[in-house]
This record gives sequence, structure tokens and C-alpha cells, in this order.
Amino acid sequence: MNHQDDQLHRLLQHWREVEPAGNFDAQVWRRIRQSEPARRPWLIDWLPRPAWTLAAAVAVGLVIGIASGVFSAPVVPPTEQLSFLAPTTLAGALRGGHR
Amino acid sequence: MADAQDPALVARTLAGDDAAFDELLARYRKPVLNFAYRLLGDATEAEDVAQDAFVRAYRHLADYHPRRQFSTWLFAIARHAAIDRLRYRQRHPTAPLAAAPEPAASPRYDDLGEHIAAAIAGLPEDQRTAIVLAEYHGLSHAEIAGVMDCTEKSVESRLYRARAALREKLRGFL
Repeated sequence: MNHQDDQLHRLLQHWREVEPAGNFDAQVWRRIRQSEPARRPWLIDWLPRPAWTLAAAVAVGLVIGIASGVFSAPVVPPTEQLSFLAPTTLAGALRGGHR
Repeated sequence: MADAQDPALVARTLAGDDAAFDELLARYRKPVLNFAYRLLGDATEAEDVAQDAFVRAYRHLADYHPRRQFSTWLFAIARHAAIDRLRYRQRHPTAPLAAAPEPAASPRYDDLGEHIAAAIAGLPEDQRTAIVLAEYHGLSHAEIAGVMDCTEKSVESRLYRARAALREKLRGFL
């Protein structure tokens, strides 16, 4: 640094510094928190996308419906299931033979 | 201004330790604030810009490379924040500021700071940034080049022109 630069440097130091406000750090943290994406409730995060939710609900409904239909149907004895076969037919004769 | 502990503090912040970022705030809040103040010439705006610089730094901390000095990385962010503010001022001009005081034949030294502020405010942004970092923050040419993303030769040239202009503007005080 030459003499002229040194002289200028000393002069420039007369422009005094400023001090940070007392809440500087708190303001920085507040702005950091504001800039972060808002947290969603855990249930929203847990649930998948609406289309998948709807598809899953339909699938569960189908399973429940089919299962309730199967288990609530009247139980017919196997011989009565073949009662529509006339005794004059081969199948009917065979059914009669089993008796 | 370089501190060997800064990269470790950055790593701790990235790992979720907010106290580490508090330590970085404690180290750099005053230098960053005064850097913004000398670029903008307004303490209130400087406070806002300095806070913005720390928010930007926090959000982009993962982009910081430990081989680089944290201080120069942070000053670069603060410079961009200040430039954004200067552009905003140009797009949204308010009432004209009072004209910068001209040095009188027998200058009064009690308002010397105002004359210096006005003289520095009159420099182009690149020269202003270079002279502020050199004169008020003691950065080397290489460090200033790191902040301004230019060559050391370019920094030398900007400093030379800035000093010549300031000597001319402030000749009544020299």
C-alpha cells in the first residue's frame, strides 16, 4: 500500500460501522421458518394420492361384498343340487343308482 | 476472516444442529450487515438485506463446498442480495434523496462519514463492492475475486479506479 492509498484508507475509516439490531438472529430464524414449506398433518402425509385411495376403497368393497355373498348363501345338499335331473336320463339314472 | 471451524459448523447445521448456525450468525452478522450497509448506504435496508442473506445461506447450505472460505461464500450471497435490492430501488423509485454534500472549502469533519458514504455510493457497484471488501473487511485480492466471481487482475483494476475516484471526490479531506 503506497502513501496515497494509506492516507485514503485512514480517511475511509471515519465512516463508522452500524450494529445489528438486538433481535437480528430471531428475525433470521423467523424468516427461515417462514420460507420452509408448511408441515401437513401426519394423516395427509400417510394417505396416498386420492386416485389410489379411491381404487383401494373400491377393491376393499368388492372383496367384502364377494365374501359376504359367498358366506351368506344357503347351503344346498349335493343330492338336491342334482334333483333337476330326470330319472329317465342317463345322468338321472346314474344319480338314482348312487342312492 | 477465514475460520477453520466454519466448515464444521456448516456440517453440523446440515445435520440438524441449529446451534451451529447460531454460531455462524454470531460470527458473521456484523460483517455481513456492515457490508450490506456500505453497499446500500441505508442501515434499515442493510438490516433487511443482511437477514435475507443469512436466510439464503441457510437454504443453500448444502451447496457450500468446504474447500471454499465460508466468509467469501457468504459475502457473495450478501452481495447478490444487495444487488437485488438496488435493482428493486431502480424499479420502484421513491422520493429523491437529498443531494450528496459537496466538500466545502474548509470541510467540517463532524459529518465526514456522510461525505465518505456519498462518495462511495457514487461508485459503480463493482468498484464499490471491491473497495468496501478491501478497505472495511480487509479481504485480499484473491478473496475479493472469490466474492465477485472474477479474476484478481479485474479486482486490482476495480480497486485502482475506485481509489482514484474517491481521492478525487474526497480531496478536500485528504
